[in-house]
Amino acid sequence: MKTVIKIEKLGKRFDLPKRPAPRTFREALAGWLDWRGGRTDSFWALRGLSLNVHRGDRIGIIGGNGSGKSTLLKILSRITPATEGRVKLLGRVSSMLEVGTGFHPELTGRENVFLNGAVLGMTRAEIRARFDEIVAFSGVEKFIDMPVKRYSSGMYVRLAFAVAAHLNSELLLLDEVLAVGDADFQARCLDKMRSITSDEGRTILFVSHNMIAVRALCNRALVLSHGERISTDEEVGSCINLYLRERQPGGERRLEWSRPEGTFRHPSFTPLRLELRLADGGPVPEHPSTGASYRVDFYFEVKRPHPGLYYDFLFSAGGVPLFSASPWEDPAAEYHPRAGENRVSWFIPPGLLNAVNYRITLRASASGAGGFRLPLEHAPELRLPVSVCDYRLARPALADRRLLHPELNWEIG
Amino acid sequence: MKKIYTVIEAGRAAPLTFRELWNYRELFLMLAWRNIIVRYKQTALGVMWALARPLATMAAFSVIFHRVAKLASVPGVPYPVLVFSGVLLWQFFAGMVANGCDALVGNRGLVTKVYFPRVIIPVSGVMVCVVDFLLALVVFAGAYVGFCRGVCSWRTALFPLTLLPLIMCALGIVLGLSALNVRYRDFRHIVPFLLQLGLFVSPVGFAGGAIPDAWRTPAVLNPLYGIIGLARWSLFNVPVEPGAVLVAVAESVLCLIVGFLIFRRQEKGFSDYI
Repeated sequence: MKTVIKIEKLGKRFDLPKRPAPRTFREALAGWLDWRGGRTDSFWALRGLSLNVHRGDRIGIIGGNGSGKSTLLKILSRITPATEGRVKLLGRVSSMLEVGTGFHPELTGRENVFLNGAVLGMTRAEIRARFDEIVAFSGVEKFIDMPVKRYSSGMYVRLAFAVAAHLNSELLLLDEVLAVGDADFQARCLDKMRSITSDEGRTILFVSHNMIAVRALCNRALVLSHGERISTDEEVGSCINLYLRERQPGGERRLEWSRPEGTFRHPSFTPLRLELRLADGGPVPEHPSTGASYRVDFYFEVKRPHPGLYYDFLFSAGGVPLFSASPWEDPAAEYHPRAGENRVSWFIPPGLLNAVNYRITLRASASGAGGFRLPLEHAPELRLPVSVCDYRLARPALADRRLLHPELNWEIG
Repeated sequence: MKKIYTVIEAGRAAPLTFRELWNYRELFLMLAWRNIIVRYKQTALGVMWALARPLATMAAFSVIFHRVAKLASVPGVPYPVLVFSGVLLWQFFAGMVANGCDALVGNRGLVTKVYFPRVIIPVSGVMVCVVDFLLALVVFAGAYVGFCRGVCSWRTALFPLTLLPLIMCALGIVLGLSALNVRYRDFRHIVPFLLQLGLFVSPVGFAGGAIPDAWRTPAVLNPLYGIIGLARWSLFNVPVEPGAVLVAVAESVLCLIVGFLIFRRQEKGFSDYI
């Protein structure tokens, strides 16, 4: 296969002045005179990256904020110079680091299509040839002769993406451009990009936080962290999982809770222990997966049963309540906690969760005489960072922002 | 389709070749066209503004320097036309400098998000002034033919040549200052002030001969002195100071070279510092 991009030991260093950077000429003059203060700290935004890209490759570049992804694209598109290493590129390069670069609010949609096309490297003849196609894709035909400052932000973004989607250079460098427009338009963009890459044999370097988009578009991937490549193989699935694991901050995982001294207790309800395990009783693995079934065990003590007692488990992600689980809802039996130590267990079925951080929070209260309300700050809470996707993904969508991903049953008639 | 082959080497800005510039000619034209369109969008007078400003300046200066300060014109030329010739050149020069110096900073989005030879930005920013100048020139030509037929000679045909040092000088300043402006925004404040000062120091509202002898040496160091003098020599058949012209041409060439070198030196840091 033909190599179209050859990256050798590429690195980019930023120098951080120990004092604030001179913003004015006077400060700079002062800095030059005071030569002892000239020392700087530096950090490598990107370091030691080597990569061969073949024609028709669609490479996903994954990494957290500040991992060097965008720096890489900026070097490849010659916006910013590298500090070390070299790159050879074969073919016309177009970079889309932002949707609508060069759009001017005073110009009409039509004028902006031509301007933006030129900025992205199209010739006027090329733009003219594809103009109708571009406008049709954007869906703003009616407003094409209106200044874009009067466009809604959705129209603006659609038109801007439409221009970029009709670029016909051999090498496309894309940065997070899908993170625009409504979900529906994003899905259309993804479809369009997939057809561009698969039908026309182009080469794409794609930087995104959207793992589903990466999975749908790319045939190779690499993971960057703090400017260095941390992935060893180029298989997209394993790179995504590596990134998702990398992303979990340490404190996010809490699979056990037992009552600390001095926290909430009440004669009719004292939470003792809350635990999360796999359904078969085994410990939750280091990288929990969407395909596994989990069980939640809850132990509590009752000295004097209260007829108004109610508790449930709120299951939430990113602050959004997803569902609650309560033993009173068990259709199989009436539920009455008895005096002494009680245990309830409930199960999260396999194939319900997505690769998201979940929280399970106990809420409890008893109404009427001798009642109570479990204060929020004493509420037992578990945290389950699911990081491995087990489900099969057929079509690009934006599932990775979805808080659940249930496996459904299908009947195809 | 012909093959394009690019090598990116560490620590170096993209090489600037004529072929590279030629490849980006359409972008240059588009940006120039954008600047021109945007300048007069949503204005009632539209491009008439390009004429209103020099004419108003001409009227004001004629009153101040001719009626109030009692300065004389050159033989065979009405005072307003003498002023007009100066205003025409000065506003071309000042417009280029004012527009060009802010061009890079004003196009931050382009600088940080796409690649093309950066020279395109300040130079396309200056093209607006070319259009303004040409419009004003048409009006000036009318006034010249109407009132100054007596001083017209073969030299009038040389007038366009006097624009050469003017453009070189302005371009050099624009390249250098627009690049420095990326790092040090001070130039934003310095430039309007210097331009304001320059308008009164240069022989715009009066003939060069009106400057007292004691001040002549510093006045000649101003390149606009020689350039406007040269233009009036070609238009109005007045004597020229060869020394002043020589100084102006030398300064203009030097300005262009230094400005270009500053620009190239700063260029690779644009996207990091802008």
